[in-house]
Amino acid sequence: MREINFRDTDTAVRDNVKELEGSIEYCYQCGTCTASCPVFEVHPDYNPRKIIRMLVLGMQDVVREDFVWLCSSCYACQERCPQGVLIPRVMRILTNMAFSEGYVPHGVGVQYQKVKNDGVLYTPSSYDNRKRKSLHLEEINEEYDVAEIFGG
Amino acid sequence: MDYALYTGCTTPVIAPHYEVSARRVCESLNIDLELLHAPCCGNPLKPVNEKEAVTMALYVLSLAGRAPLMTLCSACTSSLLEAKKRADTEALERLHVDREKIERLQVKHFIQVLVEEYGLEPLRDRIEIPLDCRVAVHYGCHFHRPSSLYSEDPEYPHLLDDLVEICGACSVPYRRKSMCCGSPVMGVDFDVSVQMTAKKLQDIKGKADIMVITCSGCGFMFDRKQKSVESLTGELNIPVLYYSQFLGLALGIPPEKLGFEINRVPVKSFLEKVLS
Repeated sequence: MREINFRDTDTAVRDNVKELEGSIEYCYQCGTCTASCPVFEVHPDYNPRKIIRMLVLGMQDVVREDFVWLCSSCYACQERCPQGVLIPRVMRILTNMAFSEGYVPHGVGVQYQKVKNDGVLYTPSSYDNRKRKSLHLEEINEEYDVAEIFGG
Repeated sequence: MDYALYTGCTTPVIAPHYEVSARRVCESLNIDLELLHAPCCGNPLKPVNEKEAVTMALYVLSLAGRAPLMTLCSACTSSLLEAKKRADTEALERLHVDREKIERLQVKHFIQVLVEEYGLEPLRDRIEIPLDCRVAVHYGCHFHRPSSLYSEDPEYPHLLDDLVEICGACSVPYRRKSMCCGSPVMGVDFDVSVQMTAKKLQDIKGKADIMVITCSGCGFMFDRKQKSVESLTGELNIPVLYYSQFLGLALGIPPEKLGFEINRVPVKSFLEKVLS
């Protein structure tokens, strides 16, 4: 078990999250989220109850933990939370913060760059287009002006 | 009934069989579709930058005309609905689109269009070939959650069960029915995502002849990754059909028009069983 040193805690991360999603302060640690979580069921490192506890205590390292990225955004926890904590949104805020500090799992970063560069996650190959043609679907050849979407 | 078809960027490339079958079914039901040429819904941007994700979805909505959008994928549906709620003025101004248009524009998943616009009973009257089989339906989380975006029950949705049963099949109960397929964590930890898929497929094995889904992300896991899952579970061999492939058969559309050659888990023996 990891030791919590209260001298190292800092509420800056919690306060930033709270500003975007105030519901975290209602968490009373019942663990319904964790009990409902299909990710926790196969990989107990991802424990939403614990992540919220770490956040509320001011353990700012939580942002740099790999496990915060594992939320599947299935919303089972949110629907069952008796306190109305919007848990997937909290996780999303944490991963957004992590990215702005330079932390991102490789696969997520690759997907992000692909969409930012090309406007799509999948660019069809000539093989994909032949497959579409055999199904009597039109070929896809669109290109998107991503500057128009994101500016600059 | 006129809809703008928003396929998203994933379905047309990795699941064109879902697109072709949905289009054939709509033709047969006189639901007119016009393809909306638009990029990604922004879903893959969410974990990294949710503001950009909303902007991307707003851009998609800005390209639409007056006709409501029909989606084929639950993740796209949720991204577009969320953006409608969280449209920020800065993004709207840059994209030169007015808030009123975004708020007015309807976004409906194909399944919702069938039930709400066409209607279950009229659809039941159109069934030509009752499909006598046991089906495990998988909704896909973003078909009904979060409840702030949808009207279906977040725990016990029933639209897809109803739609499967009007085709003459039995929708079987199973554990973890409303749980996630695992696809959203694939980019973070492939092993975790496959273990999640495995749990669901194991719950279904022996109880159902096929699985019926409504989302290309779920199809990616249950159908395309079923071989990987079998390394954890042993042989599964559970065919996975997008709902319009299933409904198409019941409407009497010839199977060769429903893209079955692209399904990864072989469907031949299932087709022989229900069409004989």
